[in-house]
Amino acid sequence: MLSQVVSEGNENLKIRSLAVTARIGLPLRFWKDTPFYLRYNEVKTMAESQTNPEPSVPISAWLPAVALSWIIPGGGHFLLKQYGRGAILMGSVLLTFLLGLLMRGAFFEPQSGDLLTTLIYWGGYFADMCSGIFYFLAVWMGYTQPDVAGHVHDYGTKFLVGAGLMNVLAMVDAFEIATKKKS
Amino acid sequence: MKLSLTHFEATILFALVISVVLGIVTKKTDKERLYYGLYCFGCFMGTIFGLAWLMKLGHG
Repeated sequence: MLSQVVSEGNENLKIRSLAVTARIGLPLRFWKDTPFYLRYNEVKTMAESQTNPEPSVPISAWLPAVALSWIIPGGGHFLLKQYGRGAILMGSVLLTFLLGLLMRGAFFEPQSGDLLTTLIYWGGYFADMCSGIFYFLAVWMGYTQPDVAGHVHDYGTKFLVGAGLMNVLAMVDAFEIATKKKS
Repeated sequence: MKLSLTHFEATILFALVISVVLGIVTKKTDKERLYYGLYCFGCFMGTIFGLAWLMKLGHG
């Protein structure tokens, strides 16, 4: 008797749930056939397949190498035991910086004014500073050169900035080696 | 002491050094680095000569 009641109760529950599913399921099935949903589903699947969670690298693994690369160009590579690459990068940055000094290039000083002036002078200042110890030594030893006309001075200024930008590439390379993105 | 280079010498030197650095930091094997460095240097040379001719022809 009891089992019959339970069985009838279950049947009733099943019928009611089927009715609810039919009421909700029909518009849902219709919605799932629309191009909006298909596109949404396609993008969602693509995003899920492209999501490749990489384990985060602790800051202590790369900061010393990157900081050393900035202070001493190529130094980060030496720290990471990439001696050949470190020596070539150090030599390249040093050669470019020395050529810039020998051509009497000018260091950029921060200046503000219109947007372009601010961008050029602040950008040049940061790029000069990216040469690390070479820049600081030159400044500490009293190297000054006013920005004068002439193609040699102009090239010198560009060589000094170029040396700093090359060192930025070296710093990025050191970061990638330290985080094992590159061997 | 002041180094006085012509436009051509300065650009050649800059192209040479930046090609070495780009080759070193961009590629993974030594062979790829060498080829990429040479490729970059070739591109720089092409640009230098191309722009030089363009300016010469433009100025008449």
